[in-house]
Amino acid sequence: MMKSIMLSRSGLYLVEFVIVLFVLCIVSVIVFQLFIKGSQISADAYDLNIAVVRAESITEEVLASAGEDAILAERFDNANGGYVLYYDEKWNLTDADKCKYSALISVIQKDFMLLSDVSIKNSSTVLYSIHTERYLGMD
Amino acid sequence: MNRANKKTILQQPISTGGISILMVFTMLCLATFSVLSIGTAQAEMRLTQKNASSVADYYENEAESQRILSQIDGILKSGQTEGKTTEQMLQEISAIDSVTVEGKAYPRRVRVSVTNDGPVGVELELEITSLGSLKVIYSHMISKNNFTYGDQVQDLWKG
Repeated sequence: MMKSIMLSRSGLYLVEFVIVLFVLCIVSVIVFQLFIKGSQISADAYDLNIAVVRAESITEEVLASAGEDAILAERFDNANGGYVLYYDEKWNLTDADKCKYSALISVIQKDFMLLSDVSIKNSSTVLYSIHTERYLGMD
Repeated sequence: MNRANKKTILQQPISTGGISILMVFTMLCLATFSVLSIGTAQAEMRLTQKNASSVADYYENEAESQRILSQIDGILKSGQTEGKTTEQMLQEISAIDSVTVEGKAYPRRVRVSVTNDGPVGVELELEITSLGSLKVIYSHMISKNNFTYGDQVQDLWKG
């Protein structure tokens, strides 16, 4: 009698263990999806943050150069009538073939105004862009 | 320990319920941490987007202030060729939106204040002499909560 009670208790334990494991698996799938989504949002925020800093820094360089081609050509690579900088996955400067992000810089002088457009892109989308103008003076 | 006691310990059944409690606790911890993680990531994204929009806003206002500066310089240049007096030119300048001409004595101070709906704006301070020459005194960022980022020092806590 005692032996049969003990057997049924261990069976009960096994059943409990299997049910708990099954529920844990289901909950884990949901929870890990949330963790992955959080990590993705965090990575996107980091990229946007760095894109803002890079765009701001390039814009200031363009404004400080007053649109002088010689200064800009020394700092940036020429591309399709504008300038470009390439970044790897850790946002370090790199070559065009190894790049993950790029900064496209357009500088135009029109009616004594310097028009600057800086766009930071990843392979498919524009992460951030800044347009600004600077009066160069009539003299 | 006698023989009877030893037998009782060996024959003690496996207790049920303990593993359930442990697993429920683990699941609650996982769920809490995952919700906290996604909440933190979303807050980080919101902060980044706010920063990105205020930077874009600042450069937009900067561009507008530079267009106004070009307009003011244009008025002074054309006024000089047409033989207008500096007062006439200043009247034209004060008619521009976001521009205020201050004081009566020369050199006259002209303030260009561009603040759109965004949190940050740009302020330019210009000086116009009696001969109609223009000089930019300073340009700085202004914000809606009166914080000024430029060549003006805020009141600091002195302990």
